[in-house]
Amino acid sequence: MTTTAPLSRPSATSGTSAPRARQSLTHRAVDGLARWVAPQAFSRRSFLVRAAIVGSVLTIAPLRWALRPTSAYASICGEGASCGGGWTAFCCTINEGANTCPPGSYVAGWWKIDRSPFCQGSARYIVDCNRTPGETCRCRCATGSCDQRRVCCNNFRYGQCNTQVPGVTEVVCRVVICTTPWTWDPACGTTVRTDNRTVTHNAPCLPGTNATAIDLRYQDLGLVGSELGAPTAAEATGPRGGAWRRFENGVITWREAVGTHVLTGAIAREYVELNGPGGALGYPTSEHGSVVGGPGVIATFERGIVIARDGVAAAVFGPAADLFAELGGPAGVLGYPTASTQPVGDGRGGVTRFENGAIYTSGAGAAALFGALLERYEHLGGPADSALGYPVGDTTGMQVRFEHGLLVIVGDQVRVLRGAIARRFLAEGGIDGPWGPPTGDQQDVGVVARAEFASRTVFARPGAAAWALTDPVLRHYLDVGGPGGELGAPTSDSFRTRSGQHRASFEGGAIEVSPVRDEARILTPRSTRSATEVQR
Amino acid sequence: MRLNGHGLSADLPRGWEGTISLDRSDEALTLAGMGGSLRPVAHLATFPLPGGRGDFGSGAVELMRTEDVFVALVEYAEEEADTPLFARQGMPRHLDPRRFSNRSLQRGIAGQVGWQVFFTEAGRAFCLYVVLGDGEDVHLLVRKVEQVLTDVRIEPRS
Repeated sequence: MTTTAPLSRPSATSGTSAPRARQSLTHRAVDGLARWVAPQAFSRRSFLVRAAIVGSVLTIAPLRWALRPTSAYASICGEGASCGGGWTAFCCTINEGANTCPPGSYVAGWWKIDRSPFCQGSARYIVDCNRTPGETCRCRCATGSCDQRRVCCNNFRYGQCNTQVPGVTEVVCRVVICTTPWTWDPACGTTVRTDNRTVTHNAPCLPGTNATAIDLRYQDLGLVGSELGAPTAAEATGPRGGAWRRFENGVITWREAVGTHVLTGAIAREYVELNGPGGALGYPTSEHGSVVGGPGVIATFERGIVIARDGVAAAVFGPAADLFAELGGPAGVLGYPTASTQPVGDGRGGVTRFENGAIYTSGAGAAALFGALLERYEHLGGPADSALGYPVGDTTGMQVRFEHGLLVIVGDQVRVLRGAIARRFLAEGGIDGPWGPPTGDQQDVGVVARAEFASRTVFARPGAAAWALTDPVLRHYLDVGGPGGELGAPTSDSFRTRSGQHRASFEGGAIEVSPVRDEARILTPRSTRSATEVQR
Repeated sequence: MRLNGHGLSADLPRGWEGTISLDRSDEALTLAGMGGSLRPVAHLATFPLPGGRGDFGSGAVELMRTEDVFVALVEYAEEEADTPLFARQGMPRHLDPRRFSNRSLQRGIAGQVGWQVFFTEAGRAFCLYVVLGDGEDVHLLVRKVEQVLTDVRIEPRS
């Protein structure tokens, strides 16, 4: 076995990169302390590294560090950090930074350390990874910067974990966690064993005493050995006092009220794409769970959900999320989302597409559209270009309301009504009223809108009311040119006079039809009548 | 000197001291509330036992002289009894000096040797951990340990 000599202090004449007088107070203080850490030539990077090390040391053991001739690295690693100290090294020191049992070892037991500064004052747990029977490993010293404890030397077992494995083998290394071992690994039993004498034990690859909740969650997951992989960004602050951090394959978020949450894979990528906790989803309120009754995984957030299937994730958020849940989620009528909620071109709302439909959201709320009706709506140009606006209210019937119109399902056709005609149609009872369903789409005749129904035709000039004409007035009206003729648009419905005449008023006059002889009289305003016309 | 507690008892010869304790600290009780199982541990030694020592003797074994021995009898939750790790029936009262090794220690300390065995007795799961202060004098020190183990009793849990 070999041991590595502790780092020696540099001589008093060791140079620094800048004269003391030109350095900031902080720089001088850190340099003054850090000069004891490592004798290498200074650089900005090494300054930052040494500043972090000294900061950690001053946090955990300021008095001891100041009074005793020990290196900062030794203080970081705690007592018994040399190979001769007889303790076993931490796994992250020998396992490429992974806080996990290395191949050929298994979780064999654990002990707790009370009120650990490395776990924000709560219990810390040291988990032994023992050599798996049948595997081989060589007793040696770790070669960490200061964690130079033993590897695979101490034939000892705490014994709470994997008790289906008989016997005692060497402890390869030690994993550190801040959560109870029996929840961390169900193979571990609950018998509590304690060794507070190991309270200072640590390694540079483990979080220090200033660790955040995110740091500790990452540690418990295994650091770089976790599914998250390595960090890709520093921990960032989030809204409302929270925080989050990105990793190669996921994120960890934290809020005081709900603690940490871990997201990985496609769900995490979509969450990052949507700007994390500062985006539309807010903070996660759950971690990955299986979709009930279907494939894929789902995570819930303050303002929505993300579902991933076959490696592709889609986020549903805002009012769309509430309606999606109301409609049964992925097991409901809409099925799985096929794309994340995204803004509509008019900037007033959003759309979320699903296997069997879409949800449109606007200030008027959220509404789901399905099948032929959705297809017609989007073919017409959707909220931005159809002139219908966004769907409102119940969209499950045969007539679906929009901000500026209606789509009506008639057989296998979807008919369009807009503006005053749509409003009048609804006022008359819609498809269940006396008008019956529309027999065609609303058309524009010049500037006058016209819609056909089973028993009448309805006209409306922009900004004016809609009027319904029936035969025989309608027939004669059309004979004289309809809205494009001299009469212009109707200004009343067809009706029967007291004398039994069929009559309707128009912008340019009136039509009166005798029910007996089917003769129509075109009545024009007095100022335009000739001497032969009937005076009324 | 007689020790008795938590279904364990031991008669200690002159020159020995020991404790049978159950961690009832606030931290332990908190863990018990989270599903943790609190089980007693007996420490028997031929030297003064310091406070705050670990369940397997850290903090104490560092104080051992070459003629000293340290014994920890550590109980585990009942459900561990008779599992493969605890398959051995009964605590060994006679020890094989050849089994002691300077590698069989929780913490390797120069000169010391140790040995560890898991077993089930009276339906209870235990680990017996023995540290001898001098690996050069194993036979004599083992006899010293056996003298105490003979009088250790484990009662079934009521």
